[in-house]
Amino acid sequence: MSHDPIQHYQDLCQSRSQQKQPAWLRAIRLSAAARLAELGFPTRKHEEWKYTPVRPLTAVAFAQSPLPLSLSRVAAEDLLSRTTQGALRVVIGDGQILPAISSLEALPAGVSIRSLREILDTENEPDDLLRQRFALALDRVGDNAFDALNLALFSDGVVIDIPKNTSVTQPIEIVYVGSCSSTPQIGAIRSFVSLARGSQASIIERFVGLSPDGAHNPHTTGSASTPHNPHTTGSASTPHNPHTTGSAPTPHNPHTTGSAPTPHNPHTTGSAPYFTTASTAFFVEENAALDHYKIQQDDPSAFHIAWTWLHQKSHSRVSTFAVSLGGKIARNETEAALDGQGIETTLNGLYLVEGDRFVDNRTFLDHAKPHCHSVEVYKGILSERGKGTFNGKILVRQDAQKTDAKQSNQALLLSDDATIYSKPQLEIFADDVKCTHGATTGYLDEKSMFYARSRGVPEDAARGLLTYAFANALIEGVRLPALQQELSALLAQRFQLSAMDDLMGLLDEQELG
Amino acid sequence: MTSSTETIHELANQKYKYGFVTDIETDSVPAGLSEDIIRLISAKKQEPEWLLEWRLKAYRHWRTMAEPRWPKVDYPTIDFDRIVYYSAPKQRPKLDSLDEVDPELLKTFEKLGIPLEEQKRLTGVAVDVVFDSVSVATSFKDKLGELGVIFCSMSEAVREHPDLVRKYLGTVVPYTDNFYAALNSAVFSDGSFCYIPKGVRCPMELSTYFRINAAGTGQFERTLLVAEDSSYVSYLEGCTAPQRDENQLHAAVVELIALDNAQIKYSTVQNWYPGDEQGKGGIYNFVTKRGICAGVNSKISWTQVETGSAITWKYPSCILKGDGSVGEFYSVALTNHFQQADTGTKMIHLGKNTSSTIVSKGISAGKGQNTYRGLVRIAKSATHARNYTQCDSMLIGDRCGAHTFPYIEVNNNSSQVEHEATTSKIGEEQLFYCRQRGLSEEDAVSLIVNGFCKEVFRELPMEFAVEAQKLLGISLEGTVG
Repeated sequence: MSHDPIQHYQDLCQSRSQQKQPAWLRAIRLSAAARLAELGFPTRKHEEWKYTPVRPLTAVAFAQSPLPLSLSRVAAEDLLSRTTQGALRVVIGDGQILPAISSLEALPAGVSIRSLREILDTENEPDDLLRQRFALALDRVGDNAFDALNLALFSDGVVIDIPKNTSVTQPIEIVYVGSCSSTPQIGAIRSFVSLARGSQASIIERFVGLSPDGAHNPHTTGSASTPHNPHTTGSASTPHNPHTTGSAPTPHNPHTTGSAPTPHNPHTTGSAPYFTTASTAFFVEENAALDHYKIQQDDPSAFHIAWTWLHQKSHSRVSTFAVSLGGKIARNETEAALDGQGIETTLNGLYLVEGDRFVDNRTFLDHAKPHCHSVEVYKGILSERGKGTFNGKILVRQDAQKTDAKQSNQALLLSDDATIYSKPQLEIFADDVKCTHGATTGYLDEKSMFYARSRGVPEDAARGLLTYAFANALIEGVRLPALQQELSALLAQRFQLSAMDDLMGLLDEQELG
Repeated sequence: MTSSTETIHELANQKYKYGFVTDIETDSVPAGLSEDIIRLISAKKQEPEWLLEWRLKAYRHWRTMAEPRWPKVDYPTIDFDRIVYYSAPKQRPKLDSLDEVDPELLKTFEKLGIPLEEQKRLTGVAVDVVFDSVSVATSFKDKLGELGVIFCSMSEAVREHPDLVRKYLGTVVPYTDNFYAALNSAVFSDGSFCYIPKGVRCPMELSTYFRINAAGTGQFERTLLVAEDSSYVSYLEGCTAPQRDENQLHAAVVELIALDNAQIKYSTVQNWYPGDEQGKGGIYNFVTKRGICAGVNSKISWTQVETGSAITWKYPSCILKGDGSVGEFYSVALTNHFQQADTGTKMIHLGKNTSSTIVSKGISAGKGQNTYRGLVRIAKSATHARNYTQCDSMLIGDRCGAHTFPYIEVNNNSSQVEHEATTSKIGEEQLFYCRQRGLSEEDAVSLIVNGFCKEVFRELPMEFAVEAQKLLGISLEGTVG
C-alpha cells in the first residue's frame, strides 16, 4: 500500500478546516497545514529527531473520527477505575470530550473547566485571549512538523481557568483515552490552562489506551489485583486476551449497549494502533503555583507525541513530573519559558521502557530573566530491547544573571539490548550563573548489589530492590498521596517486589535487633 | 575594578605577536577550484597517477556536498572560488640542507622561535615546517632514520614511501567523510608523514609547524601518522599566521593509526591569527582529526590548546577498535573578542574493555562563543567500556557564551558512562582569597585560570606547556573585572 503521509494529512486538514469554526481559527489551521506541507515529517537528519524513528508513525494512515467514542458501561467503569481517585475529571476519547464520564459538578467558585470545541462553537466571538493564544501557538510551531499537525487537526481540548488567589484543593485530571480499533485513530487535542495571580492547582494529565477487548495493558497500570498480569499468571500464552483468562469484562460492543446511533466503534475485528497528540499550554501568572503530572500509560502499540508548554511569570512555581510507561513510540516535549524573576521550575521525568518500545524525552528550559532557579532530574530504566532518549537543553539568555540551573539524566540499562541516547545541553550567555548538567549511564551499582547480597538478599530480589529504589526517589516527590501510592505500587509490581515483603520485614527486624 | 578594566583594555589591544608577513616570492596557482587546478597541483608535486585519481574522486564527491551549517558558529558563506589552493615559497627544485632554504624564510622561523637550526639540537625536537602549502624543511632526519622512523613531508613520503602512504591514506578519514575533509583530499598540498616501526620508542618529540603566509590562500595540509606494534611517539603541532583583514581558510586532515600496543600522543597548540578586537580577519580553522586504535591495548591521546583562529571547528576523535584500547582528549579552548570555537571530540567504542577520558576546559571572554560538542558512542560489541567526561566552562564578562552539547549513545549494559559539566564565572571567594594575600587582581585571575586548565596543561610536553601558559596569559589576562 503506497501511502503519502503528507498528502494524507493534508486531506485530513482540509476536511477539518471545512468544518464550522471561527474564520480566524480556520486561517490558523490552514497556515499550520501549509507549514506541515512545507516542512514534511522529520527524518534522522533533523537534529531534534536524530534518534527517533518517525517512519512507523507516518506509515500509518490515521483517521479522525467525526463521532465521539462510545464506551460500554463495563469499559467505562474499567476506565474510571484507572483514574486518580478523588480528582475532578475530564475524559477525552479519541480527541473528543466525553461529558457522560467526566465529573465536573463540584467545581470551586470561579474555576472554569470547559470544552475548547464548545467555546469555539457556541460563542461567536470567543475572548481575545484565546485568539492570542492560538496566534502564539502558530508562532511557536517553528520547524516542528508534529506541532503543526496538531494545530491543524485538533478536534477538542480543555480550557481551564483558575481565578486569582484561588487554591483548588482537589486535583484536576484530564484523561486522554485512545482506542485500538480496526481503523487507526488519531486523537489531536489542544488544551489551555491558566493560573491567575496567586492561584494554586494540581493538574494530572493521564493517557490511557483501550484495547478492542476493553482490557488494558498490565505493564502500564499498577493495580495488583489485575487478573491478567503476565507476571502472575505466567502460563497464559496471550494474557491480554480475556478469552483465555476468562475473567476479564466482556468486550464493549455498541450492539450490545445500543446506546449510540452509529458511534465510531468498530471494535470487532483487528486492533490497529492509535495516535494521541496532545498539546497543553500552561500560563502561570505571578505568584501562582502549579503541580503538573503527566502519566502516560498508552497501549504498547500506540503512538504518542505530546507537548507541555509552561509560560511562567515572576515568582511563580511550577513542578512537573512526566512518567512514561506506554506507547510504541512516545515523545514527551516539555518547554518552560521563565519570563520573570524569582521563578522556580522543576522538570522531572521517569521513563520505563521494555519490549521494543521507544521513549523520547525532550526538554527545553529558557532562562530569560535573572534570579530564577531550575532543577531537572530525569531517570530511565531500560530493559529488553527498549530504547530511550533524553535531550535536555538549558538556555540562559544574556542578562539572566544569578541563574541557578541543574540538570541530570540517569539511565539504568537492565539488558544488553537496551539503548540510551543522552544529549544534555547547556547554552549560556550570562556569566554570573551556576549551571551544571550530568548524565550517567550504567548498570546497577556493584557495591550496592554486594551489600544486599552479603546480607542474604537473593540476587533477583536485590536487583529489584535497587531498581525500585532508583525510580522511587522521584515518586517520593509526588505531592498527591493517591497518585504517589499508585505509582509506587506500580513500580513495586514492575520490579516484582511483592515477593520481597517478607524479606523487608526480616531486614527491619535485623535493624531493630 | 576600574584598574582591571583598564588592564583589560590594554591587554585586549596587545598585538598578536606572530602577525608579521614574510616577504617571499611564492609560486602559486590561480585562485579557484576545478579539475584542472587539481591536475596542476598534482603535476607540480609530480605525483603518481593513483593519487591524482584519488584527488579527483574526492573533488567530484565534494561537488555533491553542501557546506555544513550545524556548528554553533556564525560566518559569511565562503567563496571557494576565491581561494588560492596552492602557494609555495619559490625555491630550487630540491632542498638538500637547511643552508639552501631561503634566508628570508629562516628568519621567519627564527622570529617564530622554531628550532630549525642545528644549535637547537639540544631541545631535542625534530621539526617539519609547513609554510603556506608546502613543507619547507625537516630536521633530524638522519638520526631518526637510524631507528627506522620516517618523518618527512607528505610530498616526500609520496615519492619515497608510496606503498605506505597508499596503504594508510584516507583509511581513517575517507574523502567522503565530510565537506572539508573532501575538500582537503582534493587539494591537499603537503603535510607531514610519520611512521614509527615495530617496537621503536621515538627518542624525541616530533613536531610540525604550520604557517600561513601568503594572502588569499587557504592551507590544506594532511598529516598521516602510523605507529606500528608496540611503538611510541609524541607529536607536536603548532600554528601561526600573519595578521590580515581577510578571513583565511585552514582545512587540514590528520589521521593517526595505532596498531597493537602502540601509543600516540598528539599535542596541538593552535595560535592562528584570531582577528582583531572588532572581529575582523582571522583564520577559519576547520579541521578533521581522527585516530584509530586499530590494535589491542593501543592508545591515542589528543591534547589541544586552542587560543587562536577566528573560528575553530574541530573534533579530534578516537575510534577505539582494538580490545583494551584507550582514547584520551584533553582540551583548553579560549575565545576572546569575537572568536568562536565549536570543538570537542568523538570517542567511538567498538572493542571490549575500551576506555576513554575527556577533559574539556572552555574559557569565554569578551564576546567569544565557546562550544563543547562531543560524542561518546558505546557500540554493542564494546562490552565493559568505560567513559568519563568532564566539561567545565568559565565565563569572563557578560557578553560571551559557553555551550555544552554532548551526545551519549550507549548500546550495552556492561558499560559505564559519566558526563559532568559545569558553567560558572571565576569564584568571588577565590579572587578575594588571592587579593587578600596581596596578589594583584591580574595575577589572581591568571593563577585561577591556570589552575582551571591545569589538568590539561600537565598532559602537554614540557616546552609546549610553557608556551601554552604564556599564550593563555596573553589572550586572557586582564579580561576579568
